[in-house]
Order: sequence, then C-alpha cells, then structure tokens
Amino acid sequence: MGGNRPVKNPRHGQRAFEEFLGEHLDALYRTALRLCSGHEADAEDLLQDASLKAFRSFDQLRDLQAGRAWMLTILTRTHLNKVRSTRRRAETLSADYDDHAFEQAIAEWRPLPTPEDVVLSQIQRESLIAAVDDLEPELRDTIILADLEELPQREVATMLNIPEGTVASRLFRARRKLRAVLETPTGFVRGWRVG
Amino acid sequence: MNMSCGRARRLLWPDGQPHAVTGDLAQAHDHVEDCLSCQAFLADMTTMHRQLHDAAPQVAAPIEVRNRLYASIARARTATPSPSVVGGTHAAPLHAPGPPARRRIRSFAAAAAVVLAAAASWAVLDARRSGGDTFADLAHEHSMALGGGGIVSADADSVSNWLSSRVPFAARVPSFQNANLEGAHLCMSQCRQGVVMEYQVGAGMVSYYVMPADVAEDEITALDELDTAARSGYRIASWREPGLLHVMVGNVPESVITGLAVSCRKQFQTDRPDGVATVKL
Repeated sequence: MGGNRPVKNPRHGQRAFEEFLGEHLDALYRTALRLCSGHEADAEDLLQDASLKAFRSFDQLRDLQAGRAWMLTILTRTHLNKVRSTRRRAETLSADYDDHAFEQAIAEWRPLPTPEDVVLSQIQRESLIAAVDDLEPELRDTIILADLEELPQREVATMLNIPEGTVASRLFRARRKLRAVLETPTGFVRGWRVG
Repeated sequence: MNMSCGRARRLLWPDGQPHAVTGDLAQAHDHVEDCLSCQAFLADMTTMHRQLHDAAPQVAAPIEVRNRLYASIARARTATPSPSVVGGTHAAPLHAPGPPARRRIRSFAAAAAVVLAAAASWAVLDARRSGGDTFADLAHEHSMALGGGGIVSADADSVSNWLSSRVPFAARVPSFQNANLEGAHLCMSQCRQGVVMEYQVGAGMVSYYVMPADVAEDEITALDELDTAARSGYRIASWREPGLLHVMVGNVPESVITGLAVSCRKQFQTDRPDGVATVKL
C-alpha cells in the first residue's frame, strides 16, 4: 500500500460514512467480538461506540485506503479506554519485556512438536480462539490485531500506542501461552483454562 | 556465530516488514543459517501466526447488529432535542441518547428506515431519479433541519398535530387494539420527505411510513392492492393511494403486519366513498 497514491476521501456526511462503514463492518464486528472475548452484546456496544466516534470525525479521514486501519484504531482505543476505566486500581498491567528480557525469553523457546504444515482440527481451532479470549487483555488485543486480523505490527503499535518491540514481545508471550492448545492431542487447553 | 540466539531471534522477528540490512542484521542471518534451533523458532512464529489467522472464525456482522448500528448513526445525525408535550408534560426527545440497551430498542425505527429504502425500490413508488447522492444528502440534511428530532407520545392527536405542522400532507395516525403508539418522526426516501409512526407490538416494533409518491395515471388501477414482502428479516406491508405510499415495516409475523395494514386501511376508508384508503392531501 505504501507506494500507492492516497485515495482522497471525496465525500462526507451520513450516507458516505454508512457506505464506508459497510465495507469494513464485518472485520470490525469480528475484531470487536474477539476484543470482548466473544461476548456479543459487549462487542455490539463497542462497535456502536467506536462507529459513532468515527462518524463524528469522518471528515478527518483523508485517505480512504487507510480507512480500515483508521476504523480499527478507533475501535481498539475505544476498547482500551473502556478496559482502563473498569480496571480496578489493584490490577496492574503485566510488565512488558525490555529487549534483554525479550531476548532471554525467546531464547528459551522449545520448538513446536507439530510439523509446520499441520492443519488444525476444528476442535483445535475453537480451543485456540477460546484460549485467545482468555488471554490477558493486553496480550489478547495484540494477537487479535496482528495475528487474527493480520495487521502489520507497525500499525498495531500505533493503534495500541506502544513501541513495536513491545508488540513483538506481547505476541511472543501470547503465542507461548497459546501453544499449550496445540500441544494437547485433543486440542483442549491444559492448566490455564478449565472445562 | 558470536551472536546469541535470543538477539538473533529478536532482530529477525517476523513482523512482515522489510528491514534495512545492517551489520547486526547480517550477523543475525549468519547465525540463523547455522542454528537449527533459531530456524525452528522463526518457523514456529510464522506457523502460529498462520494458524491463529486461520482459526479465527470469519463471522459477518449479523443483520440486526448492522441495522441497529446504522440506526444509531442516523440517530446521532439527528440528535437535536425536540421538546414535545405528552399530557401536559415535556416528553423525552425521540432521539435522546441513552445507554446501549435502550439505544438498541430505540433504534428500531431507524433500522426500519433502512428496510424502507429497500422496500421503496420494490414497492410501487415510481422512483424518479433524484439527481444523485449529493442532492439526496442535501434533502436529508434539509429535512432533519426542518423537522427536529421527533415526538415521543402515545397520544394520536398529539402525534398527528406534530406531523401535520411539518409535512405538506395530513398524515393520519391510526389506532390499533394490539399495538401501542410510541411516537413519530420525519424520514426521507429518494428525496421525498415522509413521516413514520412507531408502534410497539408485543415484543416487536412496527414503523408505519407515509411517503409522497408521484403515480402515473395508468398505475392508479393497482391502488387498492395490499402487498406484503420481507426484507432483511423484516415484514413489510404496503399499499398506495393517489400521491401517497403507505409502508409498514416490522419485526413481527406476517399475519400481524397484514392485520395492522388492513386495520389501518379500514380506519381511513370512511374518508372516501369508493372505499380506497386515503390520507388527506
């Protein structure tokens, strides 16, 4: 996309915004659903709040090609604001790795026992997504945007307002937890997800 | 192979972005070339990225979520409070923002408006081309500026008075045994300003639209027909009379919306000796 000329946002107003929103709605809903751990009502509220914010600032979007990232940024930040406002004072964010700690952690990675081209069974896929829903919020948000929605890590860093290195270390920590799903023959998660 | 595994892995972390080749990066590549463990690590990260992407269910936004969302945007657009009177007290504006659950209930009418747009193309309304989206936007803008937010009232006379002061036709407000009037507001379809009355029917909502329509003389023969259809999960009943299109849209069974439409037509039949439902122009 980098080499393409920006596509100027030629229209404003409710109708133009609705057309624009319609193009990205499925991806937004999907992301909202995962950010809210699969809770449909919460996802809908999040989507509604984010869409109204986007509607109010639609005229600030200059390049329609960047529209998906712009909407996902609004969605993600709306979600983060909600999470922060409801997080109890005693709950603290888990510490992010610095470069040294990250290098130490990734050096200890044990290769996956499954072959690279393994195709996950349906039950494994469902368990994997259930495991994503159960991750700590900051890990979950990162993996949803970078892995599930396949956004470039640079964009994820901008959306979450964190350094790119932190995106990488959070992705690693999340994947390290999620590999438990892949390591169990039935696909059920061991230890950190009961039932 | 002086570089540590951890450093090589961090430098070559697969993030999908091209990197300028620096001395460190070249060293990291050299390291990985000879290190099976690092090769496995990088392959695992790529594999997990792909597996997670593939595992994500590709769900689409349900139509009811879509409708509620568009309704909330429409409401935000027309969020100008409009004081209205119900039984001598000021009623809440129809488009007053509220908590999400309440907003969802309130959003039905605007959701139905989305359906009306589809219904209008199906129904007998002869769609003169409106001059493009810009004109439609301007007309919508003008309509909302003139009309205010709407009226919340269960009193048919109050609603009728509110509507008649805002549109160039006298839109009558029918009463039903099994449907409670909730209020009304203005709407716009194909550059024509109409009115919509809202009724609570059990757990469902029905919006009753009255829209101006230009009808060619040779189409008048179909005036007395009541048509039914379904769009986007909503039931629709429509009929027309000279100059007006009537459309009821609701999340109720077909028998219910048909019954309401028949009842509505009966209530207005006395206005014309030929029995054709009418709304005074």
